[in-house]
Amino acid sequence: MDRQTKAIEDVYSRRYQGFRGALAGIVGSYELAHDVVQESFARALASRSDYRGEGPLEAWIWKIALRTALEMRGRPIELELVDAFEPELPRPDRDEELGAALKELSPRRRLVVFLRYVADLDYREIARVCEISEGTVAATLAQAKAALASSLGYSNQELQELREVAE
Amino acid sequence: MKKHSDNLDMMLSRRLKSAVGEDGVANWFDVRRRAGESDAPVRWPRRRVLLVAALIVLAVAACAGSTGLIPWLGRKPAVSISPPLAPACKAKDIRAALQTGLQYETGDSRDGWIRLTNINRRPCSLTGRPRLVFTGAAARSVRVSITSKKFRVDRHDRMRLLHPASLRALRRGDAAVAYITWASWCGPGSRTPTPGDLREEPMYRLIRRQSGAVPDGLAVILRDGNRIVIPLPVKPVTVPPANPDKMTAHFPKVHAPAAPGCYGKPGSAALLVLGFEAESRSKPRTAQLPLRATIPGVKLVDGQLVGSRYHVRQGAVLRYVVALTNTSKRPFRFRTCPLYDEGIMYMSQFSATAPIQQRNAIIPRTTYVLNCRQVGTIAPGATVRFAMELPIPENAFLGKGELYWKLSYPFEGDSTPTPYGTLIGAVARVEVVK
Repeated sequence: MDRQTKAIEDVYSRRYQGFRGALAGIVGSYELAHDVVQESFARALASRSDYRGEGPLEAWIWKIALRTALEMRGRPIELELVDAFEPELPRPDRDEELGAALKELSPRRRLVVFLRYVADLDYREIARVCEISEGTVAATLAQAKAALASSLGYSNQELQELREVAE
Repeated sequence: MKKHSDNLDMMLSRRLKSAVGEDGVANWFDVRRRAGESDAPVRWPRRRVLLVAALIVLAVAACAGSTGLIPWLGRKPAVSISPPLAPACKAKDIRAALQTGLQYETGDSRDGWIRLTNINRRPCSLTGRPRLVFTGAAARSVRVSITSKKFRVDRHDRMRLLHPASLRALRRGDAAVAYITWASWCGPGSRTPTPGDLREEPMYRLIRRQSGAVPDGLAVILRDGNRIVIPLPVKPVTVPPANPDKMTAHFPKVHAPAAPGCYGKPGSAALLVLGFEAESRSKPRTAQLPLRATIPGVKLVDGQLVGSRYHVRQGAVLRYVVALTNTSKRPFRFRTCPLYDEGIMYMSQFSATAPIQQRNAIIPRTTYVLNCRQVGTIAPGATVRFAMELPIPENAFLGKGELYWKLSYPFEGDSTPTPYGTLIGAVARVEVVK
C-alpha cells in the first residue's frame, strides 16, 4: 500500500465516526452520511496523487466530502460550500434544547459549529474547507458560541465573561 | 476569564457529539472498491472471455503499426499566444456582479470576487489597471484603503491552448474576474488583533461602536474611465434600542450574517484586489476526456504499486512511457493538445517522524504540452504510447518516491481535486540515487 493510501486510510479509521456524525447533521440522515463518507474517501483515494500537502489531509478530504454531499443532494455545485448547507441535529429528540439553540443560528454558523465541535477540525482546517479566512472562522465561532451560550441558559455573568475573553 | 470560554467549548463539543453520535460501521474495503482499487476479478462466461481476448488481439494488431512510441515534445505552454487587442470594454458592454464577498458589516473580513462579463456581441478588452471607489452619500465618510494589482495578462494568455478566454479579447459570455479580500472597518476605539491572536470579539460591542454610515455601491473604474457601479447588497445592521444585545440584520438570498471581527485598522476599511483573471463561459475539462493513463509495467494491486522501480541519478533525465487508452466506444481525437504535469513525491512527505526537510522534499511539478499532433484518431480500446522525460535537479533529494503523471486542469496552478471528474493520470515507483 502506498503512503498516500495509508495516510487516507489512517484518517478514515481514526475519523470515520466524526465524519459520519458531522455529515449526518449536514445532510440530514445517518444513512446518507455514511454513503457520503464512503464516496468521499473513495474519491480522495482515486485522486490522491493530486494532494500536494498544501494543507491538512483531513481538510482536503472534508472539502471533497462537502462537495460530494452537495452533489448527492442534487444542489448546484457552483454554490459556495459555506452557504450550501443548513445543518441540524439528525435526531432533534436527543437534545431538544440544543437542537432549538442551533436552529437560531444562521446556516453558515451552524456549519462552522458542526465542523468545529463534531468533526473536531481546527480553525485552519475549517478555513481551508469553507474557503474563508481563519479570522472569519474565529469570528463566526465566537458569534455562534455567544448565541448558543445565551440560548442554553448561561448566566449573565458567564456571558459577560465570554464576551471579554477576547479583550 | 478564559474559564467559561473553555467550559463552553467542552460543553458544546460533548453535547453535540452526544446528540449526533451514533456508531456507524466503517468499511475501508468498501471505500477501496468504490475507488476501483480492490475489485475482485469479475467472472465472465468462458465464451465471452475468449471473444474479448480475440478482440483485444485484433485491436492490438490493428493499432501496432500506426501507434508506435510518440516522441517527447518537451514544449512548455506558450507564453505569448495572444489574440489581437480588441477595443476597450465600455460600461454598456459589461454586466458586473459581486459574488459572495464584500457584504456589509462592521468588522467583517472575507474573500469574494467581482465578475465583469462581456454581454456585447463584439469582443472587448479589459487591460490595464482598474480602480475601485465606493459610491453613495456615505462613501466620503468611510476611510477605505483600496489596493489593486496589475492585470496579469501574460500569465493567463499562456493558457489559451486549453483556455480560450483572454483579457485582450473577451468574447460574449467570457468574463474577467477579480478576487478581492475585504476587511471592513472597525468602529472607533476598536483594537487591531496582533498576528496569531485571533480574537473572538463578541458582536455586541462592535455593533455598538458602528458608525452606521455605509456606502451604497462600489464602482469599478476601467482604464479609459468607464465606470461600472455595483450596488452593495446588504442593508446595514441595526440595533434595536430596547434590546442592544440582539442584532437585527437584513440579508438577501442565502447570505448568512457576516462574521464580525476587527481585522482592519480601527476606523477604516481595506479592500485588496488580487488581479483580474479571464474566465471562459465553457471550461474544457481534461478530466472528461475518455482516456485512461497507465505507465507500462506498473500495476496497482490492492492499493499498492507493483512492478519495476525506476532508478534515476541526480542531474540525469528520467525517461519513461505513458500509455493513453481510449475507453469510449467511439474513435477519439484530440481537438487541442492538453497539458500534463509530472513530478516526484517522496515517501517521507507522509511520514510524521521524518525531518521537516524530508517532509518538504519534492521535485517540483513541471508542465508540458502533450505531443498529440502526431497521434491522429485513437480507435475505441486502442492505446497510444508517449515517451516522457523528467529532468532531475542536481540537488534533488535522494530517496524513494512516486513518479506521478497527470493531465492538467484547464488552469495552470489549479490543483483543486475534482470530485465530479476522474483524474487521468498514472504513478510509478521511483528512486533518486547519487
